[in-house]
This record gives sequence, C-alpha cells and structure tokens, in this order.
Amino acid sequence: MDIQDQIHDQFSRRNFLGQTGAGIGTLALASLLNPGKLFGGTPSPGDGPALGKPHFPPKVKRVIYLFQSGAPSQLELFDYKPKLEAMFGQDLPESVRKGQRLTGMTAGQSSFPLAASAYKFAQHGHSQMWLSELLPHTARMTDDLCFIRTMNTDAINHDPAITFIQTGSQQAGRPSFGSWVSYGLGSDNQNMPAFVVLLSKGRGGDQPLYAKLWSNGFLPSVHQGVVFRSGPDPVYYLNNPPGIDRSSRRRMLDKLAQLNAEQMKHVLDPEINNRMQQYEMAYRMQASVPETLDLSKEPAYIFDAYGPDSRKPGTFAANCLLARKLIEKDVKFVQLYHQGWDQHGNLPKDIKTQATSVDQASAALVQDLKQRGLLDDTLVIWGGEFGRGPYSQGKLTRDNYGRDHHPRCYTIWMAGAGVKKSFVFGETDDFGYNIVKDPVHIHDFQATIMHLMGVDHEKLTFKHQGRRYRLTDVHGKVIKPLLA
Amino acid sequence: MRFEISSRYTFLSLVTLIVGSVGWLAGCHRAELPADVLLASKTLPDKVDYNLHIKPILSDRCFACHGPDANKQQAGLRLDIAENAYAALKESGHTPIKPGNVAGSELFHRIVSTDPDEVMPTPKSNLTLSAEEKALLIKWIEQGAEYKPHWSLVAPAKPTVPQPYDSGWARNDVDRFVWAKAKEKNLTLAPEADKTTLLRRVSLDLTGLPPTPAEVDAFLADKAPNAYEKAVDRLLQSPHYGERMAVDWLDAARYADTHGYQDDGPRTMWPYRDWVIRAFNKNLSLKTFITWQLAGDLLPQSTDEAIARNMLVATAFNRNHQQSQEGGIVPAEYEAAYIGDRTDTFGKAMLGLTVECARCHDHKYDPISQKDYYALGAFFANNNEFGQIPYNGEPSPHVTLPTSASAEAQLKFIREKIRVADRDEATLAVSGPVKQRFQSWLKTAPKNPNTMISAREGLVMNIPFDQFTDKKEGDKGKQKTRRIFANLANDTLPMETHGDLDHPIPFVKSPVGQGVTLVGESFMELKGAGEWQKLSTTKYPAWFERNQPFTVSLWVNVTDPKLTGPLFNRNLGPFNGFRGYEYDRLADGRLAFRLSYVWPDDAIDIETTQKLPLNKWVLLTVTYDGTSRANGVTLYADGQPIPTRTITDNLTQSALWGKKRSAWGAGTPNFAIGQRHDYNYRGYSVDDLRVYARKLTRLDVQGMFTQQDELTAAIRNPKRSPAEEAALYDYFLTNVDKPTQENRLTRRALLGRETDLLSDQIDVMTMHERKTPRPTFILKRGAYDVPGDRVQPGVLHSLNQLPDKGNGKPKNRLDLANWLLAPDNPLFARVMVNRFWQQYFGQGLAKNSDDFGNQGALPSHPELLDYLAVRLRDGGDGVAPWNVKALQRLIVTSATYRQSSSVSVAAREADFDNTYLTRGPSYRMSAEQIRDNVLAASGLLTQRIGGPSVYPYQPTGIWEALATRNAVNYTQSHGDTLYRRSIYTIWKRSSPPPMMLNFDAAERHSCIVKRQKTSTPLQALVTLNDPQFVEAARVLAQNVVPVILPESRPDNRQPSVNPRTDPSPTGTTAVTTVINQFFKALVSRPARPDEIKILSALYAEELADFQQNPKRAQTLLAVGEYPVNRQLPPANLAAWTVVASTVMNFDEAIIKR
Repeated sequence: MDIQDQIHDQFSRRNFLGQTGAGIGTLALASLLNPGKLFGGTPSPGDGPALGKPHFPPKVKRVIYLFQSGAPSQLELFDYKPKLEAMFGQDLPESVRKGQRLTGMTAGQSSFPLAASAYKFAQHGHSQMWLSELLPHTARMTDDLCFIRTMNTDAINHDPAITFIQTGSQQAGRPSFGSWVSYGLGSDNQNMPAFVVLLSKGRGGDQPLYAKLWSNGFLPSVHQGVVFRSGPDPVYYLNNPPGIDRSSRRRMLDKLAQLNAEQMKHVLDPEINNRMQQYEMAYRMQASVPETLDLSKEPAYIFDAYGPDSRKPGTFAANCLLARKLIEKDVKFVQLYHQGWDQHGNLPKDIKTQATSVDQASAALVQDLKQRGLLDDTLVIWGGEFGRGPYSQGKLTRDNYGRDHHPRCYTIWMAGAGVKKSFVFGETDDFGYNIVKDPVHIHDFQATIMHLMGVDHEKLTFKHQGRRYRLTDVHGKVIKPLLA
Repeated sequence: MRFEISSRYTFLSLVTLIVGSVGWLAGCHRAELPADVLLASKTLPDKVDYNLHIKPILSDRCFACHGPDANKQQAGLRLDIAENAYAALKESGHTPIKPGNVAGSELFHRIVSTDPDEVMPTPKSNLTLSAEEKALLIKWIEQGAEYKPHWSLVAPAKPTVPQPYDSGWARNDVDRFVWAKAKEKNLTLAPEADKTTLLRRVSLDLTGLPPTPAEVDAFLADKAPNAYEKAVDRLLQSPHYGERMAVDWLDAARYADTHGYQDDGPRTMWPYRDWVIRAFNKNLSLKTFITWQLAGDLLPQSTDEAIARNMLVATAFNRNHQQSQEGGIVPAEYEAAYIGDRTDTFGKAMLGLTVECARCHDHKYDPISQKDYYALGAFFANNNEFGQIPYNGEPSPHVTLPTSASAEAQLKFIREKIRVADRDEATLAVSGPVKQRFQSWLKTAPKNPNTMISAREGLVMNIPFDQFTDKKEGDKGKQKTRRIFANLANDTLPMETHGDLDHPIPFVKSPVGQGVTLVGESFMELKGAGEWQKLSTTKYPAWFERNQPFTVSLWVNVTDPKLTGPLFNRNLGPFNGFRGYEYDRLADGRLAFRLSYVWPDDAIDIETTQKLPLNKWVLLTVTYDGTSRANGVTLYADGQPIPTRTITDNLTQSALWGKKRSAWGAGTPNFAIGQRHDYNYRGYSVDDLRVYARKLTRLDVQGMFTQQDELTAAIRNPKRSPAEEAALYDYFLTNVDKPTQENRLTRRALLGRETDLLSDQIDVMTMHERKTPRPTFILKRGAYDVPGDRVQPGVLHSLNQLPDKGNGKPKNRLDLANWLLAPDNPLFARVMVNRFWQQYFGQGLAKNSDDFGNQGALPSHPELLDYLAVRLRDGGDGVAPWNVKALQRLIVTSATYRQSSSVSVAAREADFDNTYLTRGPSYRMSAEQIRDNVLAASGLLTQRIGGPSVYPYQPTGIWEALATRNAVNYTQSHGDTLYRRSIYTIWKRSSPPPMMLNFDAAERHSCIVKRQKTSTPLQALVTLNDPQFVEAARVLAQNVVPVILPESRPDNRQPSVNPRTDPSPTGTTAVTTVINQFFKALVSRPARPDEIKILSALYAEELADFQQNPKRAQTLLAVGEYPVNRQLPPANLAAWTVVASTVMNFDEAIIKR
C-alpha cells in the first residue's frame, strides 16, 4: 500500500470513528485498528491462529512448494542406476517386482524390459552426488540441496496421489497442506492470505489439476489457498469494476461503514463489525496484491537469472519469481503447481522439454532467496506425487521408451531452513524399484515439514464430525536425519 | 451444592498433591482430590447424567482406545458398555468402575494420577481432562455410575407437550417446548420481529428469494390476524419453494454436473436436480421421495411412462458421487470407492452417522462395526456398473429421457410398431401357412438350389492368413516389416499388422492351414477406408449397428492360461464404454460375447458356462440376428451351439456411436485381433477369419466346420432329428420365406429409426441391479484388494433390525428404504427434522446435524426434536405422515421463528449462540441467496424452473488453467440464461464457480449436510466487484430511477427536482425515494433517515465525480450484457449504480435477520 493510501485509510478510519462514536464495541474497535489477524485464521475478531504460538521454535517460517504435477521420472533426473544400462532390455526380475500392482496401462504388458536413462549422470558438489545432465542449473547448487530418494506413497494414479500428498488422504474433502499451516500458524501479513497458489503448464495436453488440492476442506474457508494469476485480474474479483477508482471505492466503503455502524445500533450483532473488517482487508488487498505481483521493477539481471521464461507471465519461471516476492511479503505457504510430467511414452524427448522449463528457475529461486538472506527461514520443496518405474511402458528402443507410475520410491529435494545441505537421504535398489534404506512415506514428509515449522503434527488437529483430524491422519513420523 | 466425599474413600495418596481445602484434608480417611478438581466439584449439578455430562467426556477422551473398536481396546477395557466397565479386567484384575465406590474404581485413580505412565488419557494421545470433567466423572461414579442408552438410538415417542401457564406467547406446540426450556434456563424470549423483517425472513427461508416490494406492501396492508399465515401458504405454493429446498438436498446428494476426479468430464445430471425441485414443489411424501431415490428401480414399474422414468431418475441419488475416467486406473478399486461413497452418504444424509469411520476399522466412538459398514455397503454393491467410466456416453446403468414431446411420441409409435412386428413374427412362426410353405420348400429345395443362398452371400471379410505380402517401411537401416494379409472377400481391404513391426507376426500350423500367433507387442487390424465417422458398410465391413445381423467365425488356439481379454473385437474401448462388439476369454477360461452401447448395463452380455480348452484349436463362431436381444446371439464351438447364460440383456442404443454420431478419440475402432483400444493381448493363435453381414444359421455354421454341405444333407436326410428339423426351419425363415423376411426387415428398419432418434435424447445415470448379486466382503483396512470375511446385506447392529422377508431372497435397497422409514427407526425422522430446523435457524436442535453419534452434541430441546420427528413420521391432526410442507409450516408459523433477532447485548450474551432459541434466527445468507437476492431485486432474475445447467459470468480462464481435456473451456452464455437462479449454475467439480466457493457453498465432492458460514475478504471482493453484482446494481438503478425521476430524462426540460443540479443530500424527495426503492428492492424495507442521509451524500459525491469524469461513468455502465438505459444521463446512472452497489453490500443484503 502506498503512503497516500495509508494516510487515506487513517483519515477515513478516524473520520468514521468520529461519526459513529460509541456505536462499536471496544473489542471491535481494537481489532479494526489492528487488523493483522484477519487472514490469520478465525472468523471472529480477537482470536489468533489455532495454535497461538508454535509448539517449538520454528526453523522454517515460510514454505515454497514447487509441486511437479504428473510425476517426474527420478530415473532420468536424480536416481542414477547403472544397472539399468547393464541390463538394458532384459525383464525386470520377478524377485524384484514381487507381484506389485500395476496401473491398468501396463498391467497387460507381456514383458517389463528395463529402460536405462537416455541421459547421462555426473557427480556434483562436495557430496559428489549424481545428477542428470537434464538439470545443469540444479546440479550447480547441489551443495544447497537436501535430497530424499526414498519418498513413497500409497496411490498409483494421479488424482488420489496428488490429493494424498496435498491433504494426507486419497479421498477429496480434507484440508490442503497450506490450509493446515494457515489454520495452525495464521498469517504474518495483514494484507495477504497465508496460503497462495500459483499455476503453470509445461508440456501441453498433460494431466489436469483440480481446485480441491488447495481447498480448506472442513477448516474455515479463510484458510483456502488463494489462486494468484498472471494478468490483470490476479485474484478473482480483486479489481474494482471499470470506472471505479480507488478513491471512489474508498468513498463508498466509508459510507458502507457508516451504514453498517448505524445498523449495529439496531441489531447489536457483533458479526457486523467482523464483516466491516473484511471489507477493509479487501480494500488493502486491492493495493497490496498488484504491488506484490508487479515484476516491472525487477532488474534485468534477475530475469536473466530466472531464465527467459520469467519474462512471460504465467510460466513456471515467472511464478518462481513471484514466489520470492510473496515470501518477501511474508506469505506463509506458496504453492506452485507445474503440469506436464506424465511421460508414459516418448519420455526422452518430453522430459527434456519439461526439465528445461523448470531447471533454471528452480535453481535461480533458491539462489535468489539465499542472496537475500531469506533462505535462512524459508524452505523450498521440489517434487511430484510419485515416481516412475524402471521398465519401459510400451516399446523400448535405445532412444525411445515410456515409464509408468511408480509409487514405491521417488526423489524430491528441499533447500533452505532447517534441513541439511549437500545431503542425500535414503537408498533404492539397483533397479530403482524398491527402497532398501530409510523410506520416507508421504505422512513422514508432511510430519517433517510441520516439525520444521514448529508444529507437532500430532497436536495440530481440527475436530470435525466428532473426530480430530490432522494432516498426517493417524500416521507419520518426523525424519530426524534430515534436520540440520 | 457440595461435593461430599464419603468415608468409603479410604484410599490414600501416593500423591504429592496439594489440596485447596485444609479443613477438608483434616478428615484424612478420604480419597484425596487435586485442588483444582476439588474446586470444580463445588459447582457441579446435583444429579450427574450419563448422556448429558459423562458420555461426551468418555467418548471424546476415552473411546478411541476403550470404546467400540474391538481391535483397539487397550488393556481389554471397554468403557462404552456398562457391564464391561463394571467388570474386573482380565489383565490387571482392576475394576474400571465400581458404582458408588470411587476409591475402588481404577478409573478414578487413573484420571487423577500425575504419573505419566499411569495417567489417563495417556499423554501420547495429546488429550487431557479438565478439572471439571474429572470432578464430573468422580461424582458420577459416586452417584452409582448409571449408564443410559444413547438418545438417538432409541426410537422417538411423542413427548408430552408442556403447558405453560403463560400462554400469551406460544402460538403452537413448538413454542410450548421452547418456552418451557427458556423458563428452565431463566431466559427471556424475544418479541415478534416487525412485519417486514418477518416477511423477508420467511421468503428467503422458503423460496430463497426476497419478497418483492409489492408483496411487502400487500403484507403490510393486510391487517388480518392470519396475514402472516396466508403469506406462508403463498410461499409454500411458490414454484421457487422447490428451488430453495433443493439446494440443501443437493448438497447432501453431492450433486454436480461433472464426474470429478482428475478428468472431470461433463455428466447429464440436471434431470435429477429438476426432479428434486419438482418433488419438493409437489410436496411428494418424504417417504416416496426417499424410497424412489434409494430404490426406485426395485419398485413395481409404473404404467405411466413419465412416472416410471422419474422413479429411475430419482435413483441417480446413488450415482451422484464422483466417478473416474482416468486411463490406467484399476476399475475394482474405483467400484469399491463408489460403493463406499454411497454407504457414507446414506449414513450421513439419512442416519446422521459417520459410518465412514468404520470403513477401515470398527468405529471409535459409535457402535458401528466394520462388519456393519460392509453389510450396509452390500446394499449398494450390486449396481451393474464398471469402475472406469467412459468419456463418451453416460456411464451405465442409465435411463434415456426424451428431450421433446415429439421425440417421445415418435419413440412410442416406433416401439408400438416393433411390438406389432414381434407379435407378427411369433404368429407367423407357428402359423399353418408358413409351415406349409416350409414343407413344400423341403420337397423342392434339392432340385432348386436357387432357393438356397450362396455360402458366400454376405461374406465381407475372409482372411485365411495363408496369403500375405510383407511391406517394408521406414528408413534404411531401421526398416520394419508390415505383414499384409489378403482379404478374399474384398481385395481392397486387407488385414495388416500394427504395433511392433521389428518382428513379423509369427506363423503357426492350424487345422485349416497356416495361422498366426499373437505375441503381445503387435496385433492385426482391418482398417476401414475413409473417415470412419462417415462409415459405410462396404468401406467398414465389420462395423455393425444393433439392428444389423452378422456372423464372425475364427479358429482359435489359446495357449496362455492367463489370457484375459478379447480374442477379437470391433470395440471402441473403455473411453467409449466398450461400444461395439467383442468376444472375450474370461479369467476363468470361459468365454463372453458382448455387444454394447455403454457396457456393462446398456449391452448384450452373454457368457459360456464351460471353459474353452487350452492348447486346442477350436472354431469359434458367433451369430447375431439384429434384434438387439440377447437371445438373438448364438455361440458355436466347432460348428455346434454351446451352452450360455445371459448376464445382461439390455442393449438400448447404438452399437456404433455415442450421442449425435460422436465418439471419443481414435483408439482402435477397427476390427482387431490382439488389441482392444490401446491394450495388447497375447498367448493365442488364430486362423481363417470370416465375417458375414448376415446371421448364419446352425447348419451353415456346422458346414463351416465340417466343410460339408450340411444343409442339403439335412434336407435329404429322411430320418432327421427334431434339432435338424428346427435348424432347417430356422434356415427357411431366415433365408427363404418372404413374408417372414419382410417382417424382419421392417423390424430392423424400425429399430434403426429408434436408434437414430435415441441419438438425440439424453441419458441419466441410474441404479440397476446385476442379475447375480456381487459377493461383498469386509475389506481389511478398507483396501479394495484385501478382502476379509464375506457379508450379507444388513443394517447396523445397534439399530432396529430388518424384518426377515421370509422368501429366502437376499435383502435389497428396497428393504433398506423400508427399514429406514419404519416407525422403529430411531434416526431418520429426527435427522430430517433437525436439518429442516437448521435450514431456518442456521443450526439444528442437535447442533451437529452431521453426527447423531456419541461425539455429536446433545439436542438442546430433545423433546421438541422428538415431537417434530413424530409429527413428521406419523402425521396427525389431519396431516398425512411424511408431509414436509406441513412440518415446515408448523415451524415457520411458530412464535419461536417469528421472534426478533435483534436483542439487547445482555440477552445475546445470556444465550450467545441462540441455543435456547431466545431470539429469531439470523445468519449470513448462502452463496445462492446472496446472488439470487440481487438478481431478483434488480429485476434481472429469470424465473424459469429447471433445464440444463447454465454458464453465467465467471472470471476468465478458470477452467482453462486446470483442465487439459474434457470440457476445457468455459463458454459463458448470453441473454436471460445469465440471470438464472444460482442453483442452475454449472458445477464443475475440479473448478467450481469461485463466487460460490467464496461464500462456502459445498464443494460437492461428498455428502455435506451443513455448510460453513464464514466471513472473509474474498467475499467482500465478490459483492463489490463481480460483474454480476455490478450489472445488477446498474440495472436496479435504471429500473428505479426513470420511474421515480422522469424529470431526469434529458428530454424533459422542466424537472421539479434534478439531482444533476441539486446534489443536496437532504431534502430532496426524489433522491430519498430512489434510495428507499433500492432498500425496498434489496433489503425489503424503506431506508431509515440516517441511511438516507449517508447515501444521499454518497450520491452527491459520486455524481460530482462522474460529471467530472464522464468516461468513468461510461465504462462503469458498460459492465454486463444487459442493455444500458441510454435515456438516463450517464453520470446520474453511474452515481446511482454506486449507491445501489453500496446497498448490495449492506448488512441486510448479506445477513438474514
């Protein structure tokens, strides 16, 4: 909000109070002057976030979750398996697969020929970790990264799997990760929601997304993820109608406040004051959101760092840059979704395009945060809903193959506050099929992030229909070795 | 009162605890209580009640480990049943609860212990007991630890109506209960709301729309003592009543216009929505309303076709759940999910119980075992459905609805004609003249071969696999071989190999020469010529519509016992509901032939009763007579018919096309061997494929196997068997007898017309039972692939039991409906009454309308709830049972409902959330009400009821940002469909309308019976900025201003008051009048003087500003598609638009008061 608006706000508030006198209770008055908690969690004024304060000192104050929708193949990106090269074209031994269920797409396949990565791997950084040539920018910052190679999930299809990692349940209806954070910890910014969602598409024609992924579920709807979009209308209905400018809106809201204050005298319902605060908050958002989303003042070297896509609104790269700006505004949970990783066939070609669309910007984001000191209390997460299997879906040739869904292991990385740097956790077998050491289940992952934010995942609950729900259902344990 | 500690508590402290009362401690031969508990004990009620005080504590803090879940009972302790709680534990020998003996009760020691290993609840649970709760438990034990049955599990009996000595306030029995409770709590009740508020309240509650200003005026003018009751009756008769009532029911029924899950394609569900609206409007008995939805397909079919269809449409209730189209899913997993959703919805919507908790384990809090859950689920498990639903075609089972009266008449006409043709055929087949013609043909046929048809007649494909050429394809060095097999019936359409061409399809020796083997990566296909959408039978020789007879014959040798899938098919695969035909090997080795529109229910599906032998060449033949009936299909092995059983005989529509000659994607729509859609099949060999565009008869098929002229042999055989005689007769009727052939051709033509006509009608998903019930198992941990014990359909063991039908038949959904509606069912009537109450008061008499179990709050007025439940269930006073409108009339005409909602701060604090109904109901209006209110007030509202869902204004790109296929683009509609009521707005589950979500509309993923009522900044943005609201403000302004201010027209030169020149905010009657009209339209009352003052000032300010900035005025007025009234000066209209918008955002436009 610019200075003029602030002055105007002050003025109009004083003006309004002067006119309404004792019409408003002192409680409402106090929260009107200190409206910071509006997005913080509860519909009634005066209440703070559900937890009041975190269970223990948080290492992470904010999260940027770069969700890679469709499931990137860890075997082409992160998890180096020379054995697949050695056994190219041979069947995945039954002793490895052990009759695990398959999706309907490969269940009918007569053989499971092992497919080696079409891309080369090399070692990087102090830890000499193996990374694919598809991620040159990511490779250069391995010393900042914490890899988990042993993520595993319960679902084998996209919808239940994404729903699972976002809400802790395969069925729709539970609150999203970010909603839990908003509910538990509230907002640190009086002008912005605690949970913001940014969307981008990579390769066209891939798997869709769904609004339930950032739904508040049974939590109060103030905790829903708010989609920020590129273009002139960044939040649904944010802009005043054409012809209504900010001062006109201010006049109208002042009169509305007077009307409601009069009304308060008649109906004596504190809900009126609450609603008036929401209008003021909406008014402030109208200024703060476009200001935050305005990339025009970013210097050229920043765009260069994030890559050419960052100049195109709505791309993953532009969203990464936006994510940094949102973090600067103390938005607690920024969730990006990037579509396009579902490579059942034609994988070598498609994954290259897709990886290129995210590699530079992901790395630039981490480095940008680092340079600004924000990485000290921000966590960046990069990963999808499950992995991909070691055998080819469809015909295997040297330069073309596909990979089906694989829930039993996959890789994600994290960077920033609270997690080890230059660290690789977990081991998979020579085929990248099974985990041999240190599994990290989705619920463990969720518990660990919660822990980093100062929340005991077993204690952040919401009672709904007689049951106390939590993000991790009745499971999950903090993976201590990941913690710095 | 005092908490007396008796000397029986001789137990002494391991405890180091401190106590508040020294005097009390001095006694010393007493149980020691922690200080806080002691303090709390001083303020307890005289009599501690199990249901009221104790069970909420036990359930919430103890039952998770010591409750109904048999697998989780720690230390063998169960606290929800008295006998168990009173008995000594096997493990420790301790007695949890000794009635009357606190010190002897282990529970007491555990709850006051400070030892983390001892104290209960255990610290691991993250649960604790407050001092007051501990004191209550202790006092309850002291008073005898009496258990009582859970209130909601005992059928309601009509309670005695309290008779208040002050009867001045009460208007009906509802009020007598409310009055008595308020008296008991020493609370005062509010006076009646003013008439305008009351009319607005009841109009919004009964129709979802505000009263028109004229209705308000009429009501104010009506001085009759029953003026209000007359208004209520008018509203109950309004066609908008059904729309209002439907909103809540559609939340419970999780109605939506798309399938959900990730692909989220559109579905045709709106006829169900419209049926719900009509049912409420007609005041259909709640019994019928529920029975049809649960079991309309199992009731005797009505002879009235429209009613019969409605009974089926109602069953869509159980199809509203999400369904998945995603390629690659495991269908069985999703079938389990669908059954689960129906079970959960039945539990929540009808029983008010969270049965879903028992999906993975026994319920933690309520007496619902996992077995109960799956027994209940078994009622919903027999639907003839498939877990992966199509992109093209409404998933089956479904019912077809005519979209016009003329289509309905034509269909009726055609079907009647088909009935006549069938009757004629039956008559002909046994009539004397035909038999005579048959006999004479038998005599002459051997001499006249031209009375017999050629064996090659109708042969459209003939692939012996012995003749082939190999075609090289691709670049040098990477050459691949496509093997092309000659089609002796049509040399322009050969059969080719596809898939992996690196390895030519291998040959194998067969009984009739050289065959080929399917190895998995490649397959054989006969492609048609040209665009298949414009198919002709010559270019697409193996494409058959349901009215076309055909025959397919193929030598087959299955070598892989695991082969499951089609041996051959002309089938569009799962994305098109398996439309077409296929001949499958089933997992158990038997065979199945399917001819489908949308499999499995809209299909002919027959299975052999015997297995196909492995490693043996068999000539498989299937013939079909084009009647669209299962008995028109005959399966042969080696020339002889094989026994079959019919699984489904319900092919009602095209076997080629979706609606309007559509299909989804390409896939492999051609005749193929070794592939269906994009899945390959292997482990068998084939040879000598023949396809005929006619039905071969038994003798033809036999001859194909024996390579003999079986027909002539049979004719010449003087001692032929009855079977041979019948076969000859079939041949005669099929190929020779002109009258029979003509009749059959007529029938085929009729069936073709019917098929074409149906292509333009709509299908709606329904329930339809499988012929053979699907066995239901307990699913361990809820996982679809880990079945446990088998269960039979049954109801929860803790409720009234299902009567035995006595006929040995398994129980079905109709039995379930009857059980639900039986007088001894304790839940249904209460649950429904409570939700109706919630609709008016914002909360139910039992606040947790979604949980009538142990964890739900007790009803605030249990007797009133029971009274209303019994009234609904039994009727009385001249009212029929299950009469919904009568019940609602009773509620809204009560003095309780008619109270003012504006009460003093003290009164509000005394009954903070209006639990005791001491004031009138007020709540934030629903998303639908808020939008509909401004549409109605502005005059924009389109009053039309029902029809397909509509596409009003929506921010651009919402669907597009998420969807990648299948209804990707949101195409906004125009004209009056922009202004339909919100119940008709398209509901896409993956991208619901953001306006509605911002105002807490249910997401429609699962059954919701109570919406949130939150207040957020995003809501303010909607009502301030959504074009729908801005346009409505402008239209309201332009509708009001000319009437009031004719002088403001530019062509009127002599204004008495001109707001352009007289911006004075006060004293301007015209301005006052406009503001009053805005108020009356939007909040139903005229403005108060202070409101007029504020808004007059706003008008003046805005007018001045718009006059300075005419462009701003023009752009504001351009919002929305409704034409602008150009007669009005733009600055004035714009200023009025801002004022109207301000009133739209005012308290009473958002909050029902």
